[in-house]
Order: sequence, then C-alpha cells, then structure tokens
Amino acid sequence: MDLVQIFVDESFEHLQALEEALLELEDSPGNAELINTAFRAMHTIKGSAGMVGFDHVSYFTHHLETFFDRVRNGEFALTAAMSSLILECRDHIKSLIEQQSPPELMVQSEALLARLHQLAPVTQSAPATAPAKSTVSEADSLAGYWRIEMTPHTTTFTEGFDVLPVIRELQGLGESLVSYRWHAPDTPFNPLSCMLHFTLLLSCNVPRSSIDEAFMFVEGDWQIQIEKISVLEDARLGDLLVENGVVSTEQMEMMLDSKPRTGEVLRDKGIATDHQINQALQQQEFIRKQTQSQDAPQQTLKVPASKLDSLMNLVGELVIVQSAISQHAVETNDDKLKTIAEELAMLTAGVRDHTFDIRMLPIGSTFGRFRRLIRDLSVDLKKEVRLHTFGAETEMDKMVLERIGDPLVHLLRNSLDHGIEMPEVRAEKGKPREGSITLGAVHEDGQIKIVIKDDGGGLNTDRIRQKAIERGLINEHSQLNDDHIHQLIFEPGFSTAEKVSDVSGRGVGMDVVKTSIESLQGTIHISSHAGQGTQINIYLPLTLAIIDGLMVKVGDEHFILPLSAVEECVESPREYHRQGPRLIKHRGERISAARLREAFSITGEGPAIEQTIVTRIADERFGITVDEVVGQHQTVIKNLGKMYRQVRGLLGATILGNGNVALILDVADFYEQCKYQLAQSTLGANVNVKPH
Amino acid sequence: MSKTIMIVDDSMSMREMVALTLTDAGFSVVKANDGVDALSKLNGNRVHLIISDVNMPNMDGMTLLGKIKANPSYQFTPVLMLTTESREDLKQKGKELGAKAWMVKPFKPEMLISIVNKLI
Amino acid sequence: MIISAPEELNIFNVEALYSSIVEAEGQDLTLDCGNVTEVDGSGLQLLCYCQQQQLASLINLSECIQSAAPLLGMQDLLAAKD
Repeated sequence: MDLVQIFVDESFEHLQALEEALLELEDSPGNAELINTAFRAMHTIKGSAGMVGFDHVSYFTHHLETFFDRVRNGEFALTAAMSSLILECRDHIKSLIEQQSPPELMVQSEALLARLHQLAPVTQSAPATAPAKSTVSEADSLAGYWRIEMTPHTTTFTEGFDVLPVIRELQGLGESLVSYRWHAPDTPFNPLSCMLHFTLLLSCNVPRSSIDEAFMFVEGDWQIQIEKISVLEDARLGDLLVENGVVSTEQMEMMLDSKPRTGEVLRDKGIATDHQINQALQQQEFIRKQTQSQDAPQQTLKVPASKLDSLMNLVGELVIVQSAISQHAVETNDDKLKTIAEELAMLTAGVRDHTFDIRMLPIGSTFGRFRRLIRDLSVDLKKEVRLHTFGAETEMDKMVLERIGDPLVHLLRNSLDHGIEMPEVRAEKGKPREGSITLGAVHEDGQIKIVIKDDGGGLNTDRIRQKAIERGLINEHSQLNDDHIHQLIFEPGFSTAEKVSDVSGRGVGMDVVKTSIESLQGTIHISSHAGQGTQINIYLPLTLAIIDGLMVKVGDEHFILPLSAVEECVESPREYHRQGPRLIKHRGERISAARLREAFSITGEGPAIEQTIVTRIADERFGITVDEVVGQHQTVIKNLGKMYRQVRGLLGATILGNGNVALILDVADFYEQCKYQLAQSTLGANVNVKPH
Repeated sequence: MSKTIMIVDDSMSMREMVALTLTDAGFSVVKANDGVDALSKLNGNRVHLIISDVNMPNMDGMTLLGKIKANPSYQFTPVLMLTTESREDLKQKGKELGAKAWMVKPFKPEMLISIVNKLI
Repeated sequence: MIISAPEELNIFNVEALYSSIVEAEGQDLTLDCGNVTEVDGSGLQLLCYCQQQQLASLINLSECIQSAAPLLGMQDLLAAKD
C-alpha cells in the first residue's frame, strides 16, 4: 500500500473521529476530552497531509486545528452553529482528499473558512479566565486511571497493622505505580510511627469495589482519597509535582514563567529533591502508558482487505483437507494417522479461529455514521430524536458488518420516519417531546443480535392486515395473531406509509432489508405495541464463510443444516404417507415440519424410522424430517453455481472429505417456503414444497 | 519464609478446619486449645498473626487478647477474632482491646485467606 | 562502623535499631542488611529515613528487602551499593 493510500485511509478515520466527537459534544457540551479528540484529528491530518503533498488539505485543516485549540483553551464555547459548520468542513475535507483538491473546491475552502472566522470570536490577547482544570465524570470516560492517596494512621504499625499487605493487595489489582512521601516532613522521626504517605496510580479497569475492599480494615483509621482521573493529554510534570504536594501552585506558576525544563529548575532551586522529581517522572511515564493503552486499538497494523480474504479462502481449503484426512483416518482405522489427524484438527481450528478473529470488527465503528444520519434526518423531518447506542464493542465479521450497514440505515430511517411522532403529537400523548431510537448489538447464543428500538407510535396492526389482504398476501379468513401480521411488512411490495416521503421512499425497503439479512444467513423479527413503539431484532451468524453444521442424509444426498439453528433431533416412525408440510407434536407443542425428501424431490422411499430435526428460527420452531443424521460437520460454504442461484432454501454447497457435494440448507428460507405451503394446505390446497 | 499463624479454639474441628485452610495457603500454623494453652505456646516464639475464638474454657478470647496486647513481645502482633458471636458490644470491646478484625463463623475458606492477606 | 540489621526488621525491632543508629551518629555508619529475612512497613520506613538523612549507608540488601521495597515505591533504596 502506498503512502498516499495510507494517508487517505487514516484521514477518513480521523474525520470519522471528528464527526463522532462533534455529535457527542451535542450531548455533553464542553467535554474537554471530545474537544481534544477533534483537535487531535485536525492536527494529525494537517501534519500528514503536508507530508504526502496534500498542501491544500494541510492549509485548510490548519485553520480548523487553530479553531479547536482556541475552544480547548476556553477562549469560546462551541455553539450549535459552529458544530454544523465544522461538519460541513469535515465533508469538505473528505472531498478535498478524494478529489485531490480541484480549484473549485479550493474556492469553497475559502468560503468555509470565512464563515468559520465569522463565527469564532476575535482572538483576545489572553484568555480572561484561567482554563478550568478539565475533569470528566467517571461515566463519561473510560480512559484514565485511579489516583489513590493514603495516609496511614501514625499508630498503624504499633496497632499490629502493616501497610505492606494493603498496598500489595492494591497493586495486585492491576497495573499500578506506587510512590511515597513523608507525610509531615517537619515532625521528628519516630520509628514506631507510620510517617509515610502513599500515592498509588492504578489502571482504571479495576472496579472501585475491589479498591474499597482492600481498605476493609483500615477505613476510618487511614485517610484515604480515591479519585478517578481521566487521561486527557500528557500529564505535565509540574502538575504532578503540585499534586504530590512537592511544590505549591504559586511556585509552579513562577517556574512556568521562566521557560526551561520544569524538573531541572525545581531541582536547581532546591524546591524538589531528585527523589521527588524521579517519582513524578515515573508517574508521568505510567500515565503515558495508560493513555497509550487506551489508544492502542487505533495503533493497529493495516493490511489490505484482499489479503485477509485470500487468507480466509486458504483457511477454508485447509479445513476441507483436514476433514478429508480425519475421515480417511477413521475409515482406514490407522491409529497413527488418527493421532496426526486429531492434532491437525486442533491446529486447523486454531488457525481458523485466529483468522476469524482478525476479521472481527466492533460494530461501534459504524455507529458514528448512524448518529449523523439520525441527526440530519431529524432536522429534515422536524422531529426531535436522540439515538442511544449500546454494545459498540460487540465484534462481528468484517464482511457481515459491511453488508449490514445499508439494511440498518433503512431500518433507522423507517423508525424515524414512520415510528417517531412529531414532537407536538408526542406531547399530546404524554410522551417526552424528544423521541428515542436505540441501536445496539449483543452476542447471544453464538449469534449476534442487533436491536433497533424506538418509542414511537408502533405498528398499526389493522392497517397492515387490511393492506395485506388488498395485496393478496393473506386471505380474509386467515387467522393470524398480531405478531404474525406485523411480520407481513417484510413481504415484497408492502408499504403502509400514508404518503410517500423522501426519507423512507416508496416502501421498497422492508422486503429488501429482509432479503439482505437473509443473504447474511440472518433472521429478522419485528415486535410492536401500539402507542409504545417498535423493536426489531436481527440475528446474525458470527461469521459467514465457515459454519458448524449438522450433516444429514436423505437417500444418497447429503445436506448440512447450520448447527446454530438446530435445537434437537427426534426419532419417529414414518406415520403415514401424507405429502407436504404437516404439523407434528413436539413437547406438547404443535410445530410444522417438512420432509427434505419431498421438498427436493428425491426419489425413493424413506426409512421406517425417520429423524426430525427441530430447528429454531427467531422465536419459532420448525421440524425438518430426514432419513438419517450423520453427525456434526464443520464446513466451508462454496457458492452454488449459477444454475442453483434461484433455488430457494439453500445457502450453498460444500465439498465433503470424500469428494462428494453436500447442500447447505438455509433453514430460515426453507421454513418460509414451507410456512406458505402449510398455510395453503390448511386452507384446502395441498401442494408439494418445491424450490422454484 | 512462610509466615506463622496461631489458631486458638477449643473446638478441634474448627481448629483443624482453620489450620487446613491456612496451611493450604502456605502458612505455618501453631494450634492452641484455649487462652492458657495459647500463652504457654507463644512463650516468646514469633507468630505473625493470632486467630482466636472468643468463648473458650480456662481463658476466654477477650482475656487472651488483653494479655497478648500487654506482652511486649506480642503487643504489635495482629489478632483476628473468629467467633460465632456477632454482638456489637463484644466487637467494640474487642476492637478497644486491640483486635484487628472480627470474623463470624461459619467462614468461607477464601474469605479467611483474603482477610489474613490483608493483615500480614 | 557497621551495624547489622536484625533478621526481623519489623515493628518489634525498629526502635532498638534506630536507637543504635542515633547513638552512633557522627561516625561513618554502615547498615548491613544481609541478615534480614523479614521486613515490614516500619522496617522499610526506617531504611528510607536512614538513607535520605544520610545517617547510614545501606549494604547487602537482602532478597526480602529487594522484593518488598518496590511495593511501597521505595525502589531508590535498591540503588544502594551492595
């Protein structure tokens, strides 16, 4: 990858960070950390743009950098108008980089800068008030460390207590740095008194409760102060010396007037000893390390995606070869080969898992984009909406993440457009004027669950039902409960919006969303309560390329069902020759079931004892009847040839160890097919489930 | 060098339980049946922590605590009261006499170890 | 003059050790810590004080001191020559 490409990629990341910081600043105005993020983003782009010859970008970002520096120094506060303008500038920078600064854009730069200078107050010689010491509340920030100050009681030692166990326990909690000083240096030394004061810096991922627990027996006797410090920028040596009580603020300010290096000056003037300065230097080092470890996720090695993809393919091939060897080892009953095959299986699994892990990205990286979307749309629609997110750290496969973006945009738009009511309407209903949309992700049962929830008006069940009848999706006599009716909005060509709006288009959408999710082997489910809101749950597999499957056999054909969908297998005598999907009793519940033999028109008769695999799709159970269950099988999905593209109910195929091909069943899609057939058959018709 | 802990309890099962927990955690253990036995076994030997019951024949835990704290060889030795008593006034008295911690039986082994580790 | 620190450099012994150090004041004093097998906070506090006030130079810091001193942030004790 060449330097320019690296610069472009990196700049986009920084622009993203800038945007996120700006949007978050709307929620927490004046948050020093966020302002600093924005500043750093501009600062970095400015620097690297200069290096790769994007002089105009460098020039433009320089002004923004200065702007944020002034905000950071408390010269003026960031207003909403400024935020909007900066967002414009952000988009402008993106265009500048993408289009390599054509003259017309450069003209635009000047216009933007002129507006920026208008909004930002004229520079004053010096800020009137000293910049407030930046403190960020615990909840605001993950970055930071604990600063624990403790003065053991003077009688600590003579009371049979030692400071060592307590401090040892604290240090055992996480990365830490301890330093001491004499609590009251002027008091005459008494070897029996505890005359020390300790400062412990502790990594912030230690829970407060563990810290408190360490002080269990000394609370009340010791003076203890526990404070969470957010790491905003490099800790200054001077500040640390002041905090450590080595020098006073006044002394420090005096020093700062006379430029040279703080430590040296203080030492030379005899204000601080070497020991005190060294301790502060160590603290500085510790804090830097904490900051860096917070930044660590960004300091990553960049690899072109194509390299990852080919690695993935190779791993896929490796898995196939490995299972061929395992199968061969079992067939030949060669003990030595079996041992080797087992070892190979373990190693392959390791390689596979690590490769997947490399491809995993946190979903949070896309949240910023959605935040912006909601913000812009709510302005357009004159609605007041706040986007809440959770589970930003939830990781999913890169490819899944890339392909889930558009469906999510669509769903969010829908929530905003159709779900959330106008502020006045909400107020009338006794809801807060500001609507809320929640977007989040969690890992659940080996799947990823993405939730999109709004507190809007909810779905109009009657209208959907009526529409579905009009569209011929359901029969007037269909006995469907509300939940079933709600799912109808995912059917092709369904729209209930009273008028077509720019935002969510013409009701193409929900079915497209569903198709995209299904193409990712996912399922989608909507639940809604009139007047209270709507929740959409999307379940996605952790990864796409390799699945753990259950291999089954029908006649001579092998099929693989994704194991994530399988609940259990039950055995039953083939009761009667009824064709088509049927209802079976399972654990006191009636569930529909279909025979693969019929669905795929496999000739021949099934065995006397059939196996039915009970699967679960979203919240429903469905039985798939086969001849024989072969066992668990890990498999690489190969795309089906063009011929089979149109075959519904199949995900793809895989090559078995013995060279045969097995078809991988798309359980959710297969169920859809059968459900439709079943509905028809209960209405009298009796049609074979056949792929079309 | 492992640290030495004295256990004073008239109940053999409790004594052995505590002893087992502590030896498992790598401490050396000295056992005593009651206050009198404890004082005779201390007799100038170094222990790092004394864990004592309160209600015992011959000499109870409170009296023992007072005597330990009055002995220059042990005045700084931390004492942990391990007892079924949870009366506040007794705890208060124990604290005044110099007991470092008060733990109510029955105890969880890991809890005991965690407390011991906070003391020595 | 060399004073040997006791095996147990703890609250039971720090007072006595400190007295002997103070008595020897004015002499060129060396505190040999080679025998110390047990040290507590009060012991480390005393060592620190002696070093900072230049009451005695510390030698032969035993293993237990070397492992305990950093726990209290007293790494500078270890800079003492062996």
